[in-house]
Amino acid sequence: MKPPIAATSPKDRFAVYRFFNGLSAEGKAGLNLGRPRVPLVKTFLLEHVARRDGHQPKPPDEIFRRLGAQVDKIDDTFMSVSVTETDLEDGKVKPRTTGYLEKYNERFFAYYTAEEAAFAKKRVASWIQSPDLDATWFSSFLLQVLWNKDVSKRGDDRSGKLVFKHESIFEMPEDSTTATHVTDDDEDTQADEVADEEPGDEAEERVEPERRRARFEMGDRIGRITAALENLKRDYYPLHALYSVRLPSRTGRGSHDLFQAGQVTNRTDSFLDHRNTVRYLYRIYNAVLNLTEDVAWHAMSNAQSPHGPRVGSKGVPLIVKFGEPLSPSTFDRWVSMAFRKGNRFKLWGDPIRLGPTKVHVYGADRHLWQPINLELTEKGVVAILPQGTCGNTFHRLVTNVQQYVCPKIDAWLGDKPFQSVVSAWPANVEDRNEN
Amino acid sequence: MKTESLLGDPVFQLNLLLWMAKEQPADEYRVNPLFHKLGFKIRFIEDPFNFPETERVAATASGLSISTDPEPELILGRGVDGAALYIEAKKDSFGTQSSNCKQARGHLLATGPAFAEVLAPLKECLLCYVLPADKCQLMAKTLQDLAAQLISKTLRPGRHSVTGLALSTGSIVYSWDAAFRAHTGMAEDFAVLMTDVDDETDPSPLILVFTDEDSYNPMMTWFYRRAMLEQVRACLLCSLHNWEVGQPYQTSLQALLVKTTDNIFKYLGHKRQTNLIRLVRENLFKRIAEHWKDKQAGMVDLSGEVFTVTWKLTGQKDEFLDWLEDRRVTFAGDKPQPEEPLLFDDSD
Repeated sequence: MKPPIAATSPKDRFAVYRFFNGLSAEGKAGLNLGRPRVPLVKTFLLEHVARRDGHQPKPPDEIFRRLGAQVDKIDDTFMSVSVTETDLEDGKVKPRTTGYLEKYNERFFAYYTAEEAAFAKKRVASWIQSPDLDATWFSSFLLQVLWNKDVSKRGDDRSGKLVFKHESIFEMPEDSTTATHVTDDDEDTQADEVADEEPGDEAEERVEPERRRARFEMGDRIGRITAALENLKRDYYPLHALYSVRLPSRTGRGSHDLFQAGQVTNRTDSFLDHRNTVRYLYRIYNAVLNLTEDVAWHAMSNAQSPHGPRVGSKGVPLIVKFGEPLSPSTFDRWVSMAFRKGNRFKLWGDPIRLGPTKVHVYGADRHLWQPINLELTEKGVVAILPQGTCGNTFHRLVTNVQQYVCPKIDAWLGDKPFQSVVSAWPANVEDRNEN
Repeated sequence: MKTESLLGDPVFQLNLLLWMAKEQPADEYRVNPLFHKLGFKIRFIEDPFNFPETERVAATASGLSISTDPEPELILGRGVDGAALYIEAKKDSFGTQSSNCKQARGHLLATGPAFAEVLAPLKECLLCYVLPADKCQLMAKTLQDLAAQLISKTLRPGRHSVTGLALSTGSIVYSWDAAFRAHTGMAEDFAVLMTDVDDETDPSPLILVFTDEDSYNPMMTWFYRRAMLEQVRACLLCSLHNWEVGQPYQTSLQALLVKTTDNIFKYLGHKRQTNLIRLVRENLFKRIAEHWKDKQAGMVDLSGEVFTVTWKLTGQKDEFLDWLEDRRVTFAGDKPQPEEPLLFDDSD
C-alpha cells in the first residue's frame, strides 16, 4: 500500500506542516540509505497572472475550480487542493487531496505536494495551461546569479549540484530539405513533436537528424565546482544553460533542488526548512519580476514628466544575442515551429519575412494572451511587450531560447544587462525563519 | 530590398528615429540609441504644433505662405537643460519655390520663441530635418533662405539643422551639421545607426509607429499595413481570449487602436486617425463580420465603428477564436510582386 500523501483532516496548517515534516524525515532517511521510501516533498511556485486588461486578482478557489480542482480553506492563506479521480487501488471515483496551496501574496502561490514527481509535474503542467496561472521562470541567468551570490558561498566543503540542460530542438543539418518543407506547411495544429522525457527505444528507432542534446550534472564539493566552472563554460557553450541548482540547507543537513520552472524538491528532513527556502526563492523571484516590469515600462509610467507631456513608444526592448549564429535551415525550422499551437514557446503570430534569416512577428504570448512583438534573426531576438502586461513572458522567452535554441546568449532589457536585472534583490530578501 | 531607397521612406525614417530614442545597450543595440544616450526623450509623435495667438496672427499678416498647424514627425525633449529637437523627416530636399515651403516656414516659426511659449518647461529648440545624406546641402540652403524670408517680415524663426542618412559599407550612418552638434553636445560629426545591412534583407527594426499615407513603395506599404493589421488582430485576440462566454464583447475601433498602439494613436493628427480606423475597419473587421454573417447569424456585429461579438456557448468562442488565430486567414491582401524590368523595351 502506498504511503499517504496528505494529512488526515488537518485542524490547522501546522498539522499539515507536521505531516510533511514526518514525510521529509522519512524521505531523507531513504536518501541516506540510497533507497527511496516515500516520494520527496516538493513545491511548485506558481504565478497568478492578473495584470492583463486591468483584471482584478482572482481568489485561489475560483482559479482552481475552473481547473477541476477543489480548494478548501484551512486558514486565510493556506488551503488543501483535492481532485476527483479514479483510485487506482480500488477503482472507485472519489475526491483525493493531492497537496496544499499557500497564497504568498495576490500574485504568487506555492503548491506543496508529496505526490510522485511524474504525477505532480503532469498535474501542475495541466494547471498552468490556464491563462490565470504560469510557472515561475528561473532562467539560467537567475540560477547563475543565485549560485554566484549565495549558494557558492555556503561553504566550499558542502555538497552542491548544478545541472545543465540544452537541446537544440530546431537544429537542422545544413543540406536538409526538411526545413523548407516545414516552412511551407501552414498547419497550425501540429503539436510540438519534441517530448521532454528521455528517449526510449522507440525514439532511438526513429529517423531524426542528429541534434545537439546536452545534459550535464556537476555534483561535487561547492569549492571544486566553483574552481572548475568558468573554464568549462568557456570551452563548451551548453554549460551556460543552467537548469537546476542544489541549495544546501542553511540550518541542517540535506538540500533543496531548484529547477527552472519553479519546482523545488526537498532533500532535507525538515519541511519547515523547505518552506523557508521556497519563501526565500519567492521573494527573489517577486523582486526580479517587479524590477523587470519597472525597467520594461518605466518610460511609459512616467507620463507626467516635469518637463512636459511625454509619449511612450511601447516598452523598452528585450535584446537577446546568440553566442553563435543559427544556420539558415535551423532558423527556418525555428520560425516555422515556434508559433504553432502546442509549441513550448507558447507564441501566436504569423511571421513576416524580411530576408533569408529575418522575420517580424506582431503576435501574442499564447499562454497569457498578451501582445508581443518579435524580431527573430539568425543572430538573436528582439522582443517588445506593451505596458501593463506580465513580465513573466520575458523570463519564459529567455529561458526557452537558452534551453532550446542557443545555449550561450547575452541579453539586455533596455540598456540593462539581463544579469543586472536578475541580480537586483533587495537586502531583506535574505533567508529568515517565518514559521 | 533596396536599403538605399528606404532611407527616404517616411515610415522607415520615423521608426528609426523612435528607436534612436529607445533604451538599448550602448554597443549591442538594435538601432544606435543616439538620442537616448544624449538624454532626449520622446514628447510628441506626429502631433500638430499649436501656435500662440500672437504668432498665428503675425504669420497670417506677413503675406507669406505659412502653415499654422505644422506637424513634425517627432519632438524630443531633454529634462536636464530643457533642450528640444523638433524633427521633420523628408524623402528629398526642395527649393524655395516648392509647395513644401509652406510647411517648412511653419516649422521654422514653431521652433522660434513660440516653442518655449507653448511647450515650457522645454526651452531651446532646434529644427532638425532628416533626409538622405546626399540631399542635405540643398535642404540647408533652402532653410537658410526661408528663415531669411521670415526675418524680413519681422517674424522670429528658430535655429535649424540638417542631418542625413546614408548607406556606407553595410551600415546605415547618420551625420549632422555644426548646429546639431552645438545644440546636442555631440563631439563627433556622424554615428553608425545599424550594422550588417545587406541588400537581401529589409533593415527595418520592429515597427513602433505606423502611418498609412506616406510610403512611396507598394512593397513597403504592404509590409506596414500588414504589421499594423497583425498588431490589431493580436490585440483583439488577447482581449477576446480573456473574455467570458455569455457577456457581449464590445469595442470601438478607436479604443482598440489606442490599446494596440499603447496610446500613440491618441497623439496622431485627426487625418491619420481617420485613415487608420478606415484601414482596420475595411481590412479586418469587415472581413470578420462578413465571414460570420452567414455561419452564426447575430454573433458578430459591426455598426459604424463599433464591433461586438457575443458567444452563447464555449464551443462558439472556440470556433471563432480558432478561425481568427488561423494563420491561413490573412487580412492584408496579397504581397505585391516586385517590379521586374522588362526583358525587351518595346516603347519605341
